[in-house]
Amino acid sequence: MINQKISWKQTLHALLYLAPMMILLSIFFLYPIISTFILSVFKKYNFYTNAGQGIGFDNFAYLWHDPMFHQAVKNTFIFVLGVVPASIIISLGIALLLNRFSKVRGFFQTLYFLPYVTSTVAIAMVWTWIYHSDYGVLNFILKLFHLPPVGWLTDPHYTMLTLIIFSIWKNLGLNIILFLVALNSVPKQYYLSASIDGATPWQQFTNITVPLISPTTFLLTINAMIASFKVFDQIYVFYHNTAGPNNSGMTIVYYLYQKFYVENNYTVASAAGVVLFVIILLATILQNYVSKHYVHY
Amino acid sequence: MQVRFSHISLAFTPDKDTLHDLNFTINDGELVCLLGPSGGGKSTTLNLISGLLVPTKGNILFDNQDVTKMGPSERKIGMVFQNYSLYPHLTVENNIAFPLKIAHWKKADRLARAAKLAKLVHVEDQLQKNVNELSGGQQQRVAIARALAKDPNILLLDEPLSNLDARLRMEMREEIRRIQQETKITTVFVTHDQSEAMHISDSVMVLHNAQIQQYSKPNELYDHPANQFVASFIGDNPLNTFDRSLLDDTELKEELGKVYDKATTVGVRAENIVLTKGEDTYQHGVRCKLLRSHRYGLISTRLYSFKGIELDATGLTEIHDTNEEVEIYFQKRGFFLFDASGNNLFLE
Ligand SMILES: Nc1ncnc2c1ncn2[C@@H]1O[C@H](COP(=O)(O)OP(=O)(O)O)[C@@H](O)[C@H]1O
Ligand SMILES: [Mg+2]
Repeated sequence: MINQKISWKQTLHALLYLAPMMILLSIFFLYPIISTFILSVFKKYNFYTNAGQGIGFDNFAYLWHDPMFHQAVKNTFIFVLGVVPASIIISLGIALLLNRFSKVRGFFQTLYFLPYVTSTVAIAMVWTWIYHSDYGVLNFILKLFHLPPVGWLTDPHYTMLTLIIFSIWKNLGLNIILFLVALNSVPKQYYLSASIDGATPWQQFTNITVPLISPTTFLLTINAMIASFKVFDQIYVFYHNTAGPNNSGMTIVYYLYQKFYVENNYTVASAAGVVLFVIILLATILQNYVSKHYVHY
Repeated sequence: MQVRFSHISLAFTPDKDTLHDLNFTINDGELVCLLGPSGGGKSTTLNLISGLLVPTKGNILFDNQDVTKMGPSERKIGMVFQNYSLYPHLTVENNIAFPLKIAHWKKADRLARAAKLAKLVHVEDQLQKNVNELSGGQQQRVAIARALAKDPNILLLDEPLSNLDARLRMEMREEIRRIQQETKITTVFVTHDQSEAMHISDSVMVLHNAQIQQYSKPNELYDHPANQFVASFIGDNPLNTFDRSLLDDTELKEELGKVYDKATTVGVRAENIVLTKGEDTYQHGVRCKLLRSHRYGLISTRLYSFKGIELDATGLTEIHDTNEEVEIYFQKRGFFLFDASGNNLFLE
């Protein structure tokens, strides 16, 4: 069987089995993606008749000149850079701690995992109370340390920080669980062997743990990065259907949402979607390239 | 470096000693095997030498210096694990140099040292490869080179050959012997394979039931086993054992003399059963019947029935019929009497 050539009949057979999945994929993924690309190059478009007129790059030119879009791109990058490395490092740190104290592990695992399985919207609602300027827990803690209160949800200077803190916290659960799995799959004998050679805990961490869990680190980084590029829900909830004070929390997806649902400018929204697609694609390619050198499978 | 255990006991659980009151000395430059069945405490003993385990009682001395409280790295030992434990993300070169990197050697120095060790263990042409591109035997060599990197006082190997196939195992055990003799490093080698232990070592320590059953030169174990356990464990063929009372009405009993009365069990090696008496046999034999015979290449075995029990015999060449009654004789060097606690009565 293994060394036989696959006949046309067999291929057809296989396609038949794959067909239901392929059809679903086409309807819900392929078709919208292609539509977005087409929409983004229409000069004019009627939503109700689904008819486009004129082909060109006007929509992209519009984005190129729109300061609001510049703001959105800048904020999105700040968000990704603020969330991804920090959430990876913090969750690895917590996973290492939990790995040491195996008794309390289950409890904390559940605790950290809760936010991941709860909807972002519900959690963000709770956090609007934590962030509240007058009654919020966060400002209460700042006060304990004699620090001035911060307008987390009202001061435009803090908008990105507010979003970043919340998102780091929200990402922890999944990251910790997967890091724990990875840490446990490193054979204990490597550590025994290294400790015989006199390796300090830090040397063991950098020389054994880090390279051997690198596939997980890579996966989580990509995952967190893609999710962060698409940040939207928490902004929507925190700032009650706006992009924050003075649009200080404007991100690419929020921009897209605004253009599509509020301004009904479908073609520009699609163009923004295409730009986001290209950004994520480039970032993923870059990471794949980097991983060739640093990830050990 | 000389290693000495003085009244060492180790208990993982308070109610039972895994090792009980061990006393032994391993001389400088020797290759000693720890031999015994699985669960006999071999790895535990090895880990006590390495410092990965701390004894519950007693002292460990290296060249008369008490190292009982020292950690593994202070003791300056090199260790090879059963599955080699090579780092999969490093090349052969970097695996060998790993202990030196930990010790903050300069890169050029440690690579030079790695190259030298690679030559010693014959993997000098594999240096740039990833370790999982190597065969089992090559990985073994790399693991030994890595263990030797810091020029340790003692080399410890825990069942280093058990992941290899039979032929490679023989090749590698000779290699380990060669490397040990070239470096003259004191080496402790754990194995559950008696033939491996017999071939490679200067001395063999048989561990079983938390205790040293016997610690002596390899041939001594075979020729003069301390007890029934050692006699059964050593040798390529199983030891025939039967109740002493089966000999009560034979003339062989008279020939065995006073010691016979203390014995409870008789042991005879399969290769020491012969069909003709001679100077090296007892003059009285026992009558038995041939049940069947087999041949596996070089080795032919026969199964004789003697008073309802079965005796294995190997190496017999005289032909006779199945079910024919014959007289078999026992060669003295492979015939043992054991008392109730299993001690070899001929040693007293
Ligand atoms: N870490 C441990 N905790 C509890 N019991 C152990 C531990 N390590 C070994 N043992 C027990 O000690 C005995 C000897 O084990 P070991 O030294 O590994 O035997 P060997 O290497 O001869 O097969 C076994 O019964 C084993 O179950
Ligand atoms: Mg063992």
